[in-house]
Amino acid sequence: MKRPELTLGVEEEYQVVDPESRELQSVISHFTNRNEATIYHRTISSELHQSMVELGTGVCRTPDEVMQELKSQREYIRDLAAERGLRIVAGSTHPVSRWEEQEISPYDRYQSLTSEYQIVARRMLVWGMHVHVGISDKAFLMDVMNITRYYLPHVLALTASSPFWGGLDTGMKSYRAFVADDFPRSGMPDVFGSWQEYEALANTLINTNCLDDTSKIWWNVRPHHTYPTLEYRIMDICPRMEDGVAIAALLQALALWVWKLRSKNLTFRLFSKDLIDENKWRAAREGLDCKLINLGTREEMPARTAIRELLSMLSEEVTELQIGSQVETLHRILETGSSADKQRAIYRDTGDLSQVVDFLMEETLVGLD
Amino acid sequence: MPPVKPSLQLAVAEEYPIVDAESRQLQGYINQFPDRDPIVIYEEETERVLKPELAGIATLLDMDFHPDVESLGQALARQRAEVADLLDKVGCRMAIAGTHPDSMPQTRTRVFTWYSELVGDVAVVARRLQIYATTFHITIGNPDLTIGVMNGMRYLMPHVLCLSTSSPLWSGELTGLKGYRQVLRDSLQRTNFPPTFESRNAYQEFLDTLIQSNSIGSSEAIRWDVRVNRDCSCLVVSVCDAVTKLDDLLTIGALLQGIAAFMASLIMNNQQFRTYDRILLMENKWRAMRYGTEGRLIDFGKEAEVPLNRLMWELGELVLPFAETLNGTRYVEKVHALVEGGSSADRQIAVWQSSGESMKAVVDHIVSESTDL
Repeated sequence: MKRPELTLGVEEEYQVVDPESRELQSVISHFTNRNEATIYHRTISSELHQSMVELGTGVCRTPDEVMQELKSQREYIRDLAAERGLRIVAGSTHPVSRWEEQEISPYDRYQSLTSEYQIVARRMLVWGMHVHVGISDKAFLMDVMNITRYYLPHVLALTASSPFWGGLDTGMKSYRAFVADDFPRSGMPDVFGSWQEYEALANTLINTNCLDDTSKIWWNVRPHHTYPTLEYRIMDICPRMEDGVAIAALLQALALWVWKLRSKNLTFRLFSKDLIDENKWRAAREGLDCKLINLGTREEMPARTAIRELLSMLSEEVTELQIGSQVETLHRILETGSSADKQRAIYRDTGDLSQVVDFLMEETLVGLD
Repeated sequence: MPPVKPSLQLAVAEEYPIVDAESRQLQGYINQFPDRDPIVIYEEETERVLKPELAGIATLLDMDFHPDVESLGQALARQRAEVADLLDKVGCRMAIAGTHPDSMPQTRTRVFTWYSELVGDVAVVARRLQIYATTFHITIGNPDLTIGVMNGMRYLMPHVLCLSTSSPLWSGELTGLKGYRQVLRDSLQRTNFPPTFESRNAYQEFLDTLIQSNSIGSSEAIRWDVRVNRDCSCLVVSVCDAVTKLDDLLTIGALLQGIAAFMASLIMNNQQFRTYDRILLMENKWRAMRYGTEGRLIDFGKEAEVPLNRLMWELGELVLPFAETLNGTRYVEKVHALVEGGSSADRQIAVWQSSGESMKAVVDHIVSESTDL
């Protein structure tokens, strides 16, 4: 089998906030009058709530290219917001604003989602980052999906950025992980025996009017319904752009590692969703301070140790993909904590959630011109 | 396959939310378990008021397994009446439903002890979890047979949930769902559908992984919608919202007892109910949560959407021969009236609408149905 290209694409969802009140602002219908409007050379997508804006990169060959595109898109949306005296924030929950007070986007897709999912949709005031890894061979894509599920809790721990919710300290590092899992067809997928098995399941869902198409499957990792990509959705969005790029690099390296295993007729043990969910809960709860379970040996180990072991395991792929600087970023996160740790430290020091919003606004702009 | 016939005794653990007779606000709740002491839990600020008078409640709760629904019904009717009398003496009522319509968990000063122990100091998750269930326990006996019956019963959990839905209102909001409790509950670990297990040994290996990795202390931390007890001799069904009307509870109990008998009989004849992916089962569970008795569930054998009542006729044909031997026919037959008339959730919504969106009227309605014995 030919080595897959493993291209990358990143979608980021941003909050739009008023820098004075620090509250979310309902603006998306001012940015675009259609579900998807191309303005300049960018595609701005509306999201469920009026205060959410989604932008995505094009197809990138390397994490460096992702960085360039993300920089450009963050600058673009920053400027668009600034024209209205507003700021953007990359964070997976808003520390203060409440879901009960948000407007739903006026577009058909979101009105229909709210009609079907009711309070579950209205509470979905969370923002994420999705990383696409280009894999055109469907059988191999399913291999990568099955195997890399094991490491998704590790990735969640690195990205956790949602400790606060509606003015409360949730006690979690990623509260978004809980809210997002309220939707049906969310959370960790089960193992699929083959691409055909996945297709058969998707067809059953479509034939029985559960879905129009597979875009309404919202698992933590899924085959994308349009692009020839595997889409990772477990992550909280990283306020710092370079952190998100490092995560994309990690996911690219994992896919390459699976391909190398396969080319040697090897594979990785597949564990049930129930066991991986144990690690996911720990990662959502305590982020990098949790202990993750080595499901093979049944032993716990500090998340930082587990992630360092993972990075060490991927050293060959890191070299081949020339992503050493992104791995350094991951080591920096391991040392200084994820965004959730920093947000909580600020709140601990100041007792003021508006300072957390200010911090997030600043972090979102780090690395931009 | 195990030659020993299943024992099919039935016990029910009820949870009774306690509301103040004047304000109708949630004060605490009473929880019972067949295999441990019942507990009465109060909010911190009302503990002083409630505790002395209610100390005797625990001794009233019925912990016994019953051979049939008739006997269970008599015990629960007596229990509900006695608990209601005691609560009345301290100016309280019991409002049995999956959620309290307008209790505001976000603003509470303290979460109930049970839930805070459950999730550590995860305050917001715990605060969301003021939810109440009716849990059915059905003895089977042989561990491999119990596991086999659990595998088969997964498919029918959404059907049963439809009948029990009683949580359409939460935190003062009309949620748009009939069973919002399940959304809240499934945010906990080890909830929802179980995986299938080949045998008791396979289940034990799964448990060992969790125990050895310090994820759980014992199997009691498993909270799947249908699961097995500690020695795999008994099925525990916890998919149901707290069932408001005793008559509805007995209908569901008889149905579950009949289903367990049917599943066990299949296995003893070298057959089994087809098992489906959790992803598919979740579709039906969502429909059950969203639409309750008005739902069209998917018959995955036929790959078609079918109204609940028709599915219940089909299920009835399978289950009634067993219900007859268990003295439960009269109750299983009531399932159609339950589907036609709607569950507690439908009636709560009707009261909410006809009373000008009065949450107090809904609480009064729940209280009235809870003690309609």
